[in-house]
Amino acid sequence: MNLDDLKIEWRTEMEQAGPASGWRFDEIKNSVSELHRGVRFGNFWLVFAFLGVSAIDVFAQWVSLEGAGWMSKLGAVAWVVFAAWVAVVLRGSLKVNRSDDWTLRSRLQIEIERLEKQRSLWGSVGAWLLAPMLAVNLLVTLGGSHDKTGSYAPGLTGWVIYAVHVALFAFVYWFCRREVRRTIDPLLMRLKSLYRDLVDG
Amino acid sequence: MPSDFEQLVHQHGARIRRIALRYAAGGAVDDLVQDILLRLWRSYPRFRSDAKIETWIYRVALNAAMTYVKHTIREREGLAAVAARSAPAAAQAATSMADVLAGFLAMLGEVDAAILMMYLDGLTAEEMSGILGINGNAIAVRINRLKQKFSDTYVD
Repeated sequence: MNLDDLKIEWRTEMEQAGPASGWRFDEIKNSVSELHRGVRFGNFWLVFAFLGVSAIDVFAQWVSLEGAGWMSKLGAVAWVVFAAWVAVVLRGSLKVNRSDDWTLRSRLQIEIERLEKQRSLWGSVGAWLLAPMLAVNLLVTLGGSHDKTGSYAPGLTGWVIYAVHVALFAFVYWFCRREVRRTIDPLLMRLKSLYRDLVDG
Repeated sequence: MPSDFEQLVHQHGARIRRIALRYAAGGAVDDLVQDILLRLWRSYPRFRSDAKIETWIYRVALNAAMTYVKHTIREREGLAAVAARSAPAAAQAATSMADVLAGFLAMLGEVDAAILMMYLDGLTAEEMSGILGINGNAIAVRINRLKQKFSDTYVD
């Protein structure tokens, strides 16, 4: 028996008609639209949350609160700039070619490139997301304190709220690093090993 | 959905299912079949009628399979370990050519399994090269290695 003997068995299997009744053709079109929407509006809710918070802050500092100080206003502007920055960074992370008919080698390269982008994005979350957010938060806290009491030094409540934010950011940082270690790194390793297997044999 | 696409998929249904069977297990096979169909439908407008249908199907199906492999890494590693342990016993117990084919496909890595399926389907090294993105000589070497591995497992 040799490998070519399997060709007969293979041909027999291929001549069998496909189990068409179990295939949900009508779902395919809908799934394609969903997938396109998913690609176009990925990270939508995260961006929406940042834009929402910045809009509320702008409204609070510029429109609704009378006598908001320059620092509060600066904080509001910083929120808007920060939200736009997050939108740009997240949008950039989606820019990977998603064609279905690449060669296997290109497909693996694309998947590796996408994962490396994700890895660098979530691995550096402290630099592009949390540190600026902390700075913006500090501005808003100090500005808010000045508007209420005339002093830039916040009271105990202000510090407690700020400390809660810092703790929350520390958790987000830890969680992102953990996700990189537990999810992205093993996937990346697996894909790179597949790629090596393909190219080096 | 154009009926010619539906007809084409029916004609090549066994091939699509076989590819899905190699890269997914249990209930996930149907999901992978559906994903392959979805991608075939999406790339159908770009399919040139002068191109070989099998080549297009393999290209799109392997793209889908690789995405699937990426999403199921943990389960797959467990299954691969079990398959590697049980491979010699399965080779001994194979009573039909269907068992031999299924067993040998399961024992190979993702890339070799793809090459084997295309080889059994009669694709040339050049066609495989267009699907995989590696040169024809490398493919010929790998096919020879597959032949050797098959003899070592099922003939000796």
